[in-house]
Amino acid sequence: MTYDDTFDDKRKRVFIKHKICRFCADSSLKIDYKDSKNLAAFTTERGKIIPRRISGNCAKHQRLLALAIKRARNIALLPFTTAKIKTKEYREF
Amino acid sequence: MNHYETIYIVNPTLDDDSLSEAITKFSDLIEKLKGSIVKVNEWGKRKLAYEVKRFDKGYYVVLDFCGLPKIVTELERNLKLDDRILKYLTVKIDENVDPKNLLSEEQKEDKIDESHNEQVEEKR
Repeated sequence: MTYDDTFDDKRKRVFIKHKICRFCADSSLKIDYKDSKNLAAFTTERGKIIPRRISGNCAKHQRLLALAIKRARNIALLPFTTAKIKTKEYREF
Repeated sequence: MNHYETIYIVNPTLDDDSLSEAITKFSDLIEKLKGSIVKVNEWGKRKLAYEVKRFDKGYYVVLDFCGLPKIVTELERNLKLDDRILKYLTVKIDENVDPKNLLSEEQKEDKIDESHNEQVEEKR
C-alpha cells in the first residue's frame, strides 16, 4: 500500500499569508507591551507567537512584537500557555 | 537621567486605604531618591492571564518616572520585599532625557484630553 504524500502536503497549506507588514503600512500602529488586546491578535489560541511567515510582518517589527509579547507575558497581561484551561475543559466532556 | 516605566501588580483584596498607601509608598520613594515622577497611572483591577501567588485578579499600577539607574535597583528591591506586590516589571523607555520636558508634555496631553472630554460632554 502506497501512502499519498502530495495530498497530505496540499492539506497542510491552508493558512492565508498576509503579504504586507501591518506596522509598516500603517505608521499610526504602535507596538506596546501594555496593549494586550492588540498583541493577542498576534498569538495563537494557545498563546504562542504567530510566525512571521503567516502574519506577514517584516523582520524589524516581528522582533519588536516578540519582545512586547514576552514583556506582556511577564506581567500577566498575556498567557504563557493555556494548556491548563484546555485540560479543564476536556475533563468536563 | 533615564526615562523608566515600572508596572506593578498590587494585591486586589486590600481595602482602599492600604491600597493607596501602598501606591504612594513607591511614589514617595522615587522622590526621596531624587527621581522625578512623570505620571502614576492606575489601571485598577484586571484579570491576570495566569495565577500569581494564588490570585486570579490584580490591581495594576503604571509608574512613569525619570532618574538614575540606581533608583531602579532600590525601587525593585523594595517591590520585592513588599508582600502586597504580586509582580513587577521595569522597562527603560529612553536615555538622557530632561524630566522637565516630559512633565510639560504630559500636562499638554492632559489638557488635550480634558478639552476633548468637554467637547464630548457638550455634544451630549
